[in-house]
Amino acid sequence: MRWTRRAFLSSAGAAGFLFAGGARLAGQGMSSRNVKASPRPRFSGKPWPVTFTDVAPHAGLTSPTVYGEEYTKRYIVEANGPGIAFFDYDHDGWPDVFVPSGTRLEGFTSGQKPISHLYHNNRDGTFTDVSARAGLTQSGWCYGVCVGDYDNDGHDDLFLTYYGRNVLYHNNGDGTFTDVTQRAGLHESRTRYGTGCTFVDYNRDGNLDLFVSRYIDLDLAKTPVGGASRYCKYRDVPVNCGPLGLQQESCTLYHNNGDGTFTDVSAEAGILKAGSRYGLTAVAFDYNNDGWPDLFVACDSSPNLLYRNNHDGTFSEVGMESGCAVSGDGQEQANMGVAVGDYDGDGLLDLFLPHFSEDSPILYHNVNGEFFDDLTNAAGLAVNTKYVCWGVDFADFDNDGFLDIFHVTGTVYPEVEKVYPDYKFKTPRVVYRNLGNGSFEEVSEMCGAAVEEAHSSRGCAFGDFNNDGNIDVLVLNMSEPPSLLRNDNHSGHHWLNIKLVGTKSNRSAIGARITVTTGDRRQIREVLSGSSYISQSDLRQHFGLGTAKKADQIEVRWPSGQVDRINGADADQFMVIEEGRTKRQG
Amino acid sequence: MTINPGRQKKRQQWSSRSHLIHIFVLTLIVPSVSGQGLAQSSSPAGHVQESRRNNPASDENARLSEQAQEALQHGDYPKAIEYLERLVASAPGISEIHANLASAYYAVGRFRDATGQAREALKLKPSLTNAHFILGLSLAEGGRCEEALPQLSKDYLRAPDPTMKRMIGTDALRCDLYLNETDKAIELLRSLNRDFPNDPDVLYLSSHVYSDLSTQTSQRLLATAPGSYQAHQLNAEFLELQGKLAEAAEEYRKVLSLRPDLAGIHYQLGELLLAGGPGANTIDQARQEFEKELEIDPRSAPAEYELGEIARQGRQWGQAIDHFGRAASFEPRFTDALIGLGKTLVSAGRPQDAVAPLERAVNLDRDNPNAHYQLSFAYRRLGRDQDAAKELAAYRESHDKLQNTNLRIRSGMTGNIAQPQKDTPPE
Repeated sequence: MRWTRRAFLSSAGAAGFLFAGGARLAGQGMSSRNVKASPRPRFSGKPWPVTFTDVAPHAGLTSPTVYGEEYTKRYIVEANGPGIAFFDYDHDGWPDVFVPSGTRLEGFTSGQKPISHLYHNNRDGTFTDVSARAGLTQSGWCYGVCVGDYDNDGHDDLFLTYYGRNVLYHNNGDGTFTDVTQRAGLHESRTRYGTGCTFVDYNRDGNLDLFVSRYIDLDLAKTPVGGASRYCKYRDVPVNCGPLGLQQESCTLYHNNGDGTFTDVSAEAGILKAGSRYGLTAVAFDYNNDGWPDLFVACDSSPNLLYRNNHDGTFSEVGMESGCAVSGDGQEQANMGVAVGDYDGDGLLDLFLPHFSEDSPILYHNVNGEFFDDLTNAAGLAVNTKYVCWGVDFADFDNDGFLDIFHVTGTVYPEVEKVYPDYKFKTPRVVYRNLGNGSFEEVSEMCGAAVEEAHSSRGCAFGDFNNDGNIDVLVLNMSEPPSLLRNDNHSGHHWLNIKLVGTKSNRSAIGARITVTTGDRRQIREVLSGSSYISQSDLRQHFGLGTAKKADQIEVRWPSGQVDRINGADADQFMVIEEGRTKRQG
Repeated sequence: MTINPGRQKKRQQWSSRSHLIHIFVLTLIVPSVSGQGLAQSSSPAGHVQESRRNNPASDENARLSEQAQEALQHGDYPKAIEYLERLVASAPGISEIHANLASAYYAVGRFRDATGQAREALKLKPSLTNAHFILGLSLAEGGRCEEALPQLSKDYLRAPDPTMKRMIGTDALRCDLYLNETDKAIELLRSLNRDFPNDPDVLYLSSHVYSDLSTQTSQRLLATAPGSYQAHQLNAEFLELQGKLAEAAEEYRKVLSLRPDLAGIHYQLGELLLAGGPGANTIDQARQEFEKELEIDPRSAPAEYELGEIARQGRQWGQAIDHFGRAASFEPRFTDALIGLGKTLVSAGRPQDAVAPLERAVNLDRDNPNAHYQLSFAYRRLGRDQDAAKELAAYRESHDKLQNTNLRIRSGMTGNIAQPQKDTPPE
């Protein structure tokens, strides 16, 4: 290899070279390319009209998320933490909130066990904790959350992954839920490390199937503790081990039998052929615009998985071949969360995944529905390498018609800060504004104190909780109550919010594709179950329209194959589009 | 120019390796003690029994001889010294006893005593080659390099055992360095690297020799031409290595004030700007430096490469292709430029044009995972699925190889130490 001077200098430095670059990558539990942040492009000078205000305390989202000890993480199971959800469980058009909880290794006495929380949206900016009434009081290491109406009864159901045994809650439609895991055939006979989940109608039969990703084949009794090997140290400080050095796990696809039960079809569907990974966030979306949902799994410290739907009930894993498994220079990265969105308006869904510290995020630009190109640098997104990053999404915060990016951060090694005070356990949120030319610029510092506040965050979900036409952000913070970042957008731009209801397709319309055309601009959204970091965002789809007062056309491509079109929809409204006909929400 | 500051350190390093002498001692001929006092036997045990029968006074010597032999074999050098000293007093005319005592002294770091006993052995028997070897080593380890060097130089050529040869060679090298015999050191270093190409000790010493030479010459430059542009350039490079980027840039600017047309300096300033990380106008400033570099040296491949990277990051595919293309034409073996060119051509929707530069990159550097990875993409986009699969497999192999190398480096740093080379040097 020809050495560029920079490469030479970075690898030289007499004896110190042995500890630089790649050698260090191999010596810790998480993959990181050990890269420096790229120089920031010149600031655009455009005003940024969005600030965020954390209204969680006022709104009544006050229960802290217990997840192991706060400042000591003996095992990785305590360190990674869960997702979070905007979940309109009562279908009143006001997103409610679900906050998963963990526990502690030593356990709790009866009555003291922490539980996950379901908060009902009171439609006045506040929420009421209805967990007990809803019957969602199970305690344990809850990780991922995804939503979908698996039995098409008109009530979105809730699936939760656990380090333990996953749980399917049936939404009874009266504010209560029933654990139907056993009855549905989803009961696991042993402790497994479930992480991501996504409801997906992979065979387009109108019933939502279920895909679950897993992280590690983890037996705590056999797992080494901090400092035991090279994978249990960070900056030579003993920390929780893994995932490198621990056994990878496989994903599972459950077929919906249409009678309230599921069958594990992982083997025959080709899911197991790809082998094991350190799987985290799973999301289903149609990357090649063939009308069939594909599956993507963001994998920690191992190549991502992209399962292409073969239209016959099977999948082919094409992550490496399509260019979204590893970085553009062929290196594995610590992928935790994933954002799916068409940031450049070319009609193809792109991917954005932020990573571990000392690595940049990655923007996989979808070239033609077959290949992805690493355009991170080109898009100005390689300017941050100091944070460990988790929940993330594309969302149009200023309603200018271009998808911005928001992600949360927080390390997994609280012990390191005790030795290296510069390595903070709690770190701020990051916001990038889409400049509309294929590139982004960071605007975190212009977003107000709520973004700059430091937390050790994990999941985050996106949705308009107060129905003011702006996308808000719900954030899970380790050992703290969640943050609810209200978007105070002063752009004056117009917007449109669309809820889809399937009739031939699954009722939740998961997998439906909406295209909104204004002038010569076309924006697409797909209804996703799961995404961000093992989280669930509002199933309603939000479009910023900029200065346009109406959308020229709304087109919905349903999973059933039906296409509905609505011409001339006024801006600034919440719409409900039912498969085969349209109606306006009151 | 001297290298005195390093002497104390080097002496400590010498002493720390005397434990290796057990290999050396065991290779010495172990004498027997006969009734006649001076005879040697090729069968020491049998000879001791014979001497016991012939002369009761020799029984004690035979016993001491056996005990010394056993102590030497077990590495119990203080005991061996005790027995050998008594043997020397009893039978001062046996050269092998002096030689073994010299070895035992050497092993415990009593180099002056070792030197004396080795000399005694050689007085009695000038042909006793192992005594020559221990004499040279003892002199060297005792810091008497002027006397040691002639001995070690001869011994290196004739030492039959690879371990012994390596010890003699590395001590001779240290003495050359100690005495500032630079030319001799380089000559010996060549021999050592030829004979022991993967030996950690030799590689370590090689690093030091070249480092010392670099230090010597750079100090001479600073002493003889302190205000020269070369002195500023060297200083800038040192500062850059130390991560003092702003100071390094300042030094490079001093170079330019003295030699505005000097090739390479604007390029280095551009690199410093990029290495400095995020900044408001960093990319524009770096680009300007690379463009100035090209005004001075229109065939600067590295400057073209960096301009290509900047253009690629700005999605200016056409410009990037031009820059990478020129970089690769100026330096046909510039793998990174070929990869940059291929990658950009793929991004620009011209995978058919990307194949040639990427295939060339792969041929130049078969262990480069990135080259295989990018080539697999180009093939895939052309529908050459079999070729793509082959390259993807090559990518995985080279990627794993690189990771394993990194793991091995890391393992070495955490306790897995490579062993000295013990096999026979190549002809």
